[in-house]
Amino acid sequence: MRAIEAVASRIAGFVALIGGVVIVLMMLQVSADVAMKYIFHKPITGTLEITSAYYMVALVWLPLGAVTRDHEHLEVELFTQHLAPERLAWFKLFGCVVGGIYAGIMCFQGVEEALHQTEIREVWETATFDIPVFGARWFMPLGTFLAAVYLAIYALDNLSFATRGTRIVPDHSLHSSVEAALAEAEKANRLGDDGNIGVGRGGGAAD
Amino acid sequence: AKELTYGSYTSPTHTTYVNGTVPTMERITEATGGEITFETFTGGAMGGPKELLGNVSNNILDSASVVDIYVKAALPVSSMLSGMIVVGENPKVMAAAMNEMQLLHCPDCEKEREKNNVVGLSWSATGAYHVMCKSDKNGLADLQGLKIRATSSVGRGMQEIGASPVSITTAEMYEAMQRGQIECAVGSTAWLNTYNLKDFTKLAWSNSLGSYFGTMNFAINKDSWEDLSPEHQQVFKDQMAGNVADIMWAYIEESEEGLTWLRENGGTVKEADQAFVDAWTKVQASAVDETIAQGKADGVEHAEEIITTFMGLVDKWTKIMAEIGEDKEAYKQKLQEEIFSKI
Amino acid sequence: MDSLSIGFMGIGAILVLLAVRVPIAFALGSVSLVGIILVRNERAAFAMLGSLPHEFSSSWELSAIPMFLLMGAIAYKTGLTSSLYAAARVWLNGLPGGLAVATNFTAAGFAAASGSSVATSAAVGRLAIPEMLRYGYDKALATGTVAASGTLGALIPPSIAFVIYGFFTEQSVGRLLIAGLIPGLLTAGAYTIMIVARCAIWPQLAPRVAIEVTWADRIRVLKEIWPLPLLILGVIGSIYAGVATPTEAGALGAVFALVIGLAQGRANWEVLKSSVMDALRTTSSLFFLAIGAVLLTRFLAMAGVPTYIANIVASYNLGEIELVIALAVIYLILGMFLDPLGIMLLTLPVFLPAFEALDVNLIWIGVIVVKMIEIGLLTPPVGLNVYIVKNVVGDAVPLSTIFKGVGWFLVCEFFIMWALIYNQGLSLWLPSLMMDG
Ligand code: NA
Ligand code: NA
Repeated sequence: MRAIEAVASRIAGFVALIGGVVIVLMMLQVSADVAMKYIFHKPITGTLEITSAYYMVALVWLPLGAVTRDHEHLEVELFTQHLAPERLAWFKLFGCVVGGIYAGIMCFQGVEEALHQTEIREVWETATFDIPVFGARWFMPLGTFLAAVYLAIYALDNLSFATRGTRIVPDHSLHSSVEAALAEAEKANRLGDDGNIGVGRGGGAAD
Repeated sequence: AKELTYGSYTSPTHTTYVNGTVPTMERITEATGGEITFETFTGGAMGGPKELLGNVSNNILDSASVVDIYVKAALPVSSMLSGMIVVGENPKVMAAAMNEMQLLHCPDCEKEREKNNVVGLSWSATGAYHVMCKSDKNGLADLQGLKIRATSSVGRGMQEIGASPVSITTAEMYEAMQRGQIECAVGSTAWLNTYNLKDFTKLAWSNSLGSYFGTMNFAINKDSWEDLSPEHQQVFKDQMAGNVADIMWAYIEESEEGLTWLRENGGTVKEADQAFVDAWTKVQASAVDETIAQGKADGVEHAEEIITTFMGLVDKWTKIMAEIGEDKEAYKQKLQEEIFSKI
Repeated sequence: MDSLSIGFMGIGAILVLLAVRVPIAFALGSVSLVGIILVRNERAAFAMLGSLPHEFSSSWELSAIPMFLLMGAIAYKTGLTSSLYAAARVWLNGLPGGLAVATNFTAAGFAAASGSSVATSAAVGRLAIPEMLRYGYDKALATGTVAASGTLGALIPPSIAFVIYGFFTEQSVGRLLIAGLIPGLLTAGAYTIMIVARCAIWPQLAPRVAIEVTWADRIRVLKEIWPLPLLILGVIGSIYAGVATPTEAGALGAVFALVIGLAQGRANWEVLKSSVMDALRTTSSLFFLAIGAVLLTRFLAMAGVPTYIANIVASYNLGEIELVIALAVIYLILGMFLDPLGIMLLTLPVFLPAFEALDVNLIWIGVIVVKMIEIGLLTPPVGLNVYIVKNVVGDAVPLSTIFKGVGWFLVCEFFIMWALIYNQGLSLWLPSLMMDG
């Protein structure tokens, strides 16, 4: 299982990294477009269309596998926080199953729609010419596929933990720099957290 | 009783919706003795312009108004025709010609609707397109290098005569004009009201640059349509001539009100100079050939034949309109005789 | 079972799923999927899942969100924000809750310029929350301030919400935008008074510096921090001057933040990479969640829930004030679950005829409607502004704490709404000064 997960982690990370390249590209092209507009009175044709047809779609869907891997989907902890970890794993298992089916259907339907749009060569009309946009249809099936794979892996992981008390994949919960800074501030100030009742992102083995 | 859902992305106060779609629905309900009713979703609540066709195809909605240029790849023949905005100087002619074309003379149009699992019942046009600007403009020379919102063949035409066409969504048009990202927009003068462009517009040229005539007012899911009894289907068909006439008269009235409003509120409404008229005539003259060439390049079968047939219908209806003049009843009757009695 | 019951049961099912810890995005989306299968059919529901998520993400209007997130992440990771807040702390030491007040106005400025509440909370959250917490500010206060002050965006021009309302009701957008100005300032003022009053009564919410601050200190810190205020003003200013759209200003802001970081020797490959991945992850999870909210809106629309509720009220023949209060209450309830614009699109067709029959001023109604849909961004369980703040702070602050912090601002909103409903002049005085046209 660990080997499969390691491969999945690499792929999800790599695909997310492409999303990172896209967001930088978008930043650069949009800025260059403004600069060209004002300095040379010649905007970069198609910036609006490429941004909404390609960049936005890519940067929403490509990171979804990594987002799922790193437990970045928000969840409400309020009613389940005092449960023993083994018992909580049953709830997490349920969440993974619901999410896995949802993402799976989205992926399957997304492939169908992408095939259809690719076949008819979906285009958008700009002021003076048409741009093909069907290629962007494939980002959603890709992202939801990776998410579904991770939800399946975590379903098995939680099942194993709930029944045998052992985790089968490593914990990928993120501790971003903001979180680290906040934790530090917390220690320094020793101000007790007023939120004993908690709601948060889904942690994996960290719970 | 059967309730059909209907989706539109225009606002519930849009003139074509209030004075065209809703009265038609009411008449259908009345004529079926309350057997058929409608539940409507306006303002894009059930899908924006790019989604509506697919939503009808997949039975998310029973029916919708579909604007073909937003779904060009799905309706290539229809959008090839309606892309010729610049030939549509007289919107009433274009609406009639488009209905006759789509319903009686274009097997390829029917095929593409079938592919999308929809039945099409009536088409309408917008009011005539005019140049509307934030400040006074006299003619061709003033347009050189000017940022102007235009789409389709109008965009290409504007580029040919030296303006810089910009693509901006209708939702963003207001702020784009406010901020000076565009100086002018080409569109129906009804937009002064619908999109609130009257907040900034100071000039409109009275020359008609064309009109957009590819709005399918009743795109109905094929299964939903086949669920209707033949009598109920006939009720729909009987109401379509009235539907087209209602929409055309309402749209054009609102366009004229827009121009009147502008005149009375310190704006200028005038003819563009001869240089612009000549340049635009050239654009119009080459539009047909360019559309055929583009259609072929896009892989539309029978492009030449389709366009030629359509232009023949435009001639036919130009003559009919010359006979009947501005008589709404006569227009409706002609549509019924020539088109809707035959479907 | 009829569609309406399915709709209400769907809401119940979502609450259950949320309680048993199904991630919010999955809970909203899966219940909507099942709901649409039940009220319509399988084919429609599945087809919607194949196209709507893509269409939603393929948006120019929403493209400001990743750009603002990126700018905020870069400014934070290059340390620009910490020096700014160090300075603000020195300067505003005398004012109870000074940093929160400063954040309130920074966010107001951002929001006003961007027109997107969510984008604002994304950018300012990253800038301000870690800094406030570093100085010992109460978590609920720090996060609540950011989530709430983002909502000023739709009231102060430019505002996409007013443009859409104007398009819907054929009211002059210019008048609507002007009408939103006083209510917007009123909201910012009420927030400030509340923050200062709370911090004065409970000083532990916002600890002050114990040491004496001299003017020499004040001047000295300014030398370090000038780039960031300049950057923020540049972003806001370029939008106002019409030089850039919000997306463009966000992109330029990110580039300049990076350039400043490089010039000060604080940006490097690692900083860029982690900023980019942060912005990316937040964008992705937020959009995925918002897609669930949009699916829910479509499901409830098909089930007829919003029209059912609005019709009940419209059928009561209420007077002007009663009708407006009813509208506000319905928006409050629907706003708990639905995406804000969806509520407007679904209920206005029902309410408009009722208002027109009473000859109510639709500019005033526009202000009320926009205020209420912004409040919907703050109310649990589905409050997008709160979610984005949560996404920025990660596991360090529980969601319930943020909602708790927002609660104080909702109390302010109650009084603001009361004032706006009973005093039409607050909304209509400025537009009445405009010339006809
Ligand atoms: Na704003
Ligand atoms: Na809410």
